[in-house]
Amino acid sequence: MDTKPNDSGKHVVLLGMNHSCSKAELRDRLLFTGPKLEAGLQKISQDPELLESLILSTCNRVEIYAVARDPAAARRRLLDFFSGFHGIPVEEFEQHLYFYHCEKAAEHFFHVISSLDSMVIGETQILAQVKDAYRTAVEMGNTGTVLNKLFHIGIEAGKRVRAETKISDGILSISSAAVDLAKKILGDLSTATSMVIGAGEMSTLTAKHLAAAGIKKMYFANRTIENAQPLAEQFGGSALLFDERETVLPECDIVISSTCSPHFIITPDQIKRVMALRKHRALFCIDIAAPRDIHPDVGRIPNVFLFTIDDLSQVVSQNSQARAHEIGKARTIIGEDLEKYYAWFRSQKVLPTLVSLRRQFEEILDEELARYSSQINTLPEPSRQLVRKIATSLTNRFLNNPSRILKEAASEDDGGLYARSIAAVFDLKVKNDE
Amino acid sequence: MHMVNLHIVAQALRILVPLLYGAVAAGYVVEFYQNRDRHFSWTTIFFIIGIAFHLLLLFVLFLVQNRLPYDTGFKGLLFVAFMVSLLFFWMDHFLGEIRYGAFLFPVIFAVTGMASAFLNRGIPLPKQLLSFYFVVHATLLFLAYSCFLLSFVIASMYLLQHRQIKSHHLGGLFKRLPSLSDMDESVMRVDALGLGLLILGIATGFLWMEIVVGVPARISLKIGLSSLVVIAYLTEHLLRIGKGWNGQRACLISVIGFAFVLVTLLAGRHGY
Repeated sequence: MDTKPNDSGKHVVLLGMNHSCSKAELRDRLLFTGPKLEAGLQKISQDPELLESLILSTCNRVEIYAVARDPAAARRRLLDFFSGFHGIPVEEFEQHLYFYHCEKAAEHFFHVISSLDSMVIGETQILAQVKDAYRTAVEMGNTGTVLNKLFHIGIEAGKRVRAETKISDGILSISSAAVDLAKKILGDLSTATSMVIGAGEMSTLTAKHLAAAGIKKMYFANRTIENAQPLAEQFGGSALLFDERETVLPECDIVISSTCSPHFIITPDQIKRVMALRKHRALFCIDIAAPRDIHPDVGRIPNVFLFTIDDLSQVVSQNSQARAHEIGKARTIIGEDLEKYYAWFRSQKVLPTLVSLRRQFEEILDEELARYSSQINTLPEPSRQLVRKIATSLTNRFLNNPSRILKEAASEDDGGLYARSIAAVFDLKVKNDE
Repeated sequence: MHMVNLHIVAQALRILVPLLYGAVAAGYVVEFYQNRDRHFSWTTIFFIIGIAFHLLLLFVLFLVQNRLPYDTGFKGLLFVAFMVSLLFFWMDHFLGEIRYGAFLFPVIFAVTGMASAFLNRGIPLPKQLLSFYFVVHATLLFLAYSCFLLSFVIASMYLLQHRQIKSHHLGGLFKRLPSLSDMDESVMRVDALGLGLLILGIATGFLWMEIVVGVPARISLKIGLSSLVVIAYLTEHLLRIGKGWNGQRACLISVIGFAFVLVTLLAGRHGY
């Protein structure tokens, strides 16, 4: 695969960190939440080296996509931007970052949007988060042709992966497995109470399954009551403030936690107190957060059953073959759509040549028409228009084949050679920023 | 002639009953493996025939010997197996789908097989000691032991399921075993019933010794071991109520309690 930029020297670059290579505590400090996102986009757009830019900031990842002429310089610029914007020395976070450019950057983005890079493969939230990030970047005027094309094709790929594979069934299986597990621990759920701490697709889905299983009562705890209220209304439960959780915990048989907290929000000491209050009745804890919300030692307490997403994934592991098959199908779709993007990207290499060629032909046309203007002007107006039309048509016919062949050659990686040949043959002066 | 015929019937039933329980055990194991929902099947039919024949065997033994059908250890085992089957029938058909059969009936099959094979072994008590008090004493104790055997099987299943869930290794058994909550509750109820019967059985035993045997109640090895059984199951219940020791700890105590039951049955002698 040709990893060179197009002739205009534009590279897609990506600098970021995700749940697999950094702690949430660090990511929290580098997040672009609320007004920080717009301020960040505004600041980054002022950098002349970064031609286009977009910030993707979620609970599990913070990534900056940009278009630049020099990837190495862009990396330095983006590092300085992270550091300057958040006021954190580069050395504190540099080793946790990944940096990709050209095809690698596009490939990573396609994996992100298809949820193959997510903590829970098959989750659908990331698609909406990418769309939001893209919309904001467009509204702020940070994107251009390269990022627009990358995100348009990428978003389509993300949709295709979800529509044409059963990859999202995995997440359903996980939440349904959580409910099956709850039944195996607690028996009849119609007498059980649950608490969902934080929000997120997995916890919402699990809450949905629990509601369908006829759970008696559900609490939804969040740092802001406004975030907890919609879920409480949706599932007929009660909304709580995060700090009120401990007062309600003793009556809960199931606890689902998925906050972005950088530290444990449920500790062994806390659960020991809770278990004493609930006479040591079985407690089922599901930790969906990364980093974990519930201290692993909680699982050692008698009658407390602690499961993480990975543990629940194992529950549905008998479907791992089917799951692997779906991931394979997703990769095929990503490959197809990436190829569309690459073809477009490569075609951009010959674009300046095509523009120059057309401009040269148009100049020749204008010169020839000017040369014979004294004769042409003697003709009646309809005839004059006809002459111009014939000349323009001839020009287009002459350009038709070279343009088509050049574009085809570009998609086959030979675009550069053809473009240079045409430029030499026609003595074109190609401007790369066209 | 009449007695000869009953002997033949008893011999036939001694072979037939374990075979039927063997078929029931195989049926429950297959149903458990196939993870089938509860339904009326061949296993149920074999089970009902097995219980009926088992009852008939006990009745025939009573007629043939004109004495209690559990006056020796092995006959006692046969009686215990019958009571456990009855308890299971009650639990399975009145408490809903609990899937204990696959674990319980191999044990019932082994117990009835062993009891049938060695039915005539052991020295029966002298007839003059087989008073009303002894009948009540022995019946209550065998009923208690039946409860403890049943709860031992359920507690073992609980510990198996608990181990699977705690270690996150949720294999095929996980899906097929009942919920921890249901099993824990079953263990608690059956143990409570067994404990009550055991205490009553020991009390009537003292009365039997005082009134029939004419020996003042004194501590023997068997009484000592039985006391350990009472202490074990009493501890389980006190800790459940007082400390909230439900689940794993309670089931472990229940299993330990059953170990004492076995020791009491195998090693315990009254010594008079």
